[in-house]
Amino acid sequence: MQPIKVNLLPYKQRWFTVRQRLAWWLTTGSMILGAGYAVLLGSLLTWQVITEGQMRATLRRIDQTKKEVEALAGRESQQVLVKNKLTKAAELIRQPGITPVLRAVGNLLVPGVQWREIAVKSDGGIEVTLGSSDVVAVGETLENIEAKAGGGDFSQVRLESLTKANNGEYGLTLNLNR
Amino acid sequence: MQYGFYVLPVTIITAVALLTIGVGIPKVKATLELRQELKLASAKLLRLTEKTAALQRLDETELRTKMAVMERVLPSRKDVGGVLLGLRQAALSAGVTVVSVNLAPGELATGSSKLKQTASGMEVEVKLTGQIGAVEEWLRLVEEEVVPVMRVKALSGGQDAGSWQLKVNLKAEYLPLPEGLGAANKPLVGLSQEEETLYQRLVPRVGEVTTETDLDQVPLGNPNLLQ
Repeated sequence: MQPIKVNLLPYKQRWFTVRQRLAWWLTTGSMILGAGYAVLLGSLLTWQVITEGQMRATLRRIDQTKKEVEALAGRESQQVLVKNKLTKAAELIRQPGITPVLRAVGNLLVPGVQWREIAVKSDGGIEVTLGSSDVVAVGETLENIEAKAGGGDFSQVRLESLTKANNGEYGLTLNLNR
Repeated sequence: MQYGFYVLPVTIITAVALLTIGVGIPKVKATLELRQELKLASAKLLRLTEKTAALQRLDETELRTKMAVMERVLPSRKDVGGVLLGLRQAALSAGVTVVSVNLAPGELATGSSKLKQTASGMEVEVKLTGQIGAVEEWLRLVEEEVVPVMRVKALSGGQDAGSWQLKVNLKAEYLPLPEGLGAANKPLVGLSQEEETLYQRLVPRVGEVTTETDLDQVPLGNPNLLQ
């Protein structure tokens, strides 16, 4: 039996051609990749250097501007003081004065009853002490308060105490809220 | 040498991978952090620049006048003299007689020690006598017209022989100087419209002000108290 002879040369040639092409693509591709990566890395480093430069420049300008602000600190302190004082003054002036309170308390009283003391409490409430030796006038004053809608100029009226002293004088303590 | 053509690509890919891990990623991270810091620094710079511009726009003379006016309205210290002067001025205008004035100011501000920020007003007790209309006018003047700002806290008394005799407890307000101005990049807050209006209302209350007081020229101190 004769051995079969197979000519492998065309296959070898084809494999050789494929390898050559593969080698070319791999070499060229990796060189392009390397070059591209080098450019990218270079850009990255440049970006960092530029950012550092910008940061240094910004910090320098911040220092310079801070010095300018410090040089104008006198104006700033005056402006801050004026502002603070105006805010506080506005807050104080907004609080109701004693004159309208006197008038409002006066509206609650009937002849024969006198106010003895009016005190503005820290919470804004008003404590009024009244005195009278006329029990009828005291009663009328209380009726007058109850008859007025909301106790006249006040939103809340509390009769804290009603006492009679040895000299026959009645003392009333009212707590009023506006 | 059959697979020699793999050497260069493998070397390049390995180098790319190593450089990415060793240099690329840390550099990107560092730069991104730096950009973030730069953004914050730029914002700070902008605030400082705006503040400088705002400070430069302020009229120094006007500011000094405002300061002098507000110092009279709400002093930085316990202005005993100002309080006495204000009470006297109100009494003269209203036509009441001030019988007595009691003050216990306590700690005073000195060159080396400031008053505490939390300090509240100075208590003043005034005894006065007058007709009811005059007393009412005095109370109105004290609370609305004279300086420094005073608030009536308590009122007691009564009528005697047609004349009212009152004991008035007042609080003369003051505002101690702040400890500091805060950070330099803190924005400068301008006066609101409401505050400007209030200031205009306060100017006539103070009257004419000079930014330098005569007191500055008065020689102070006596080296020998026995003389």
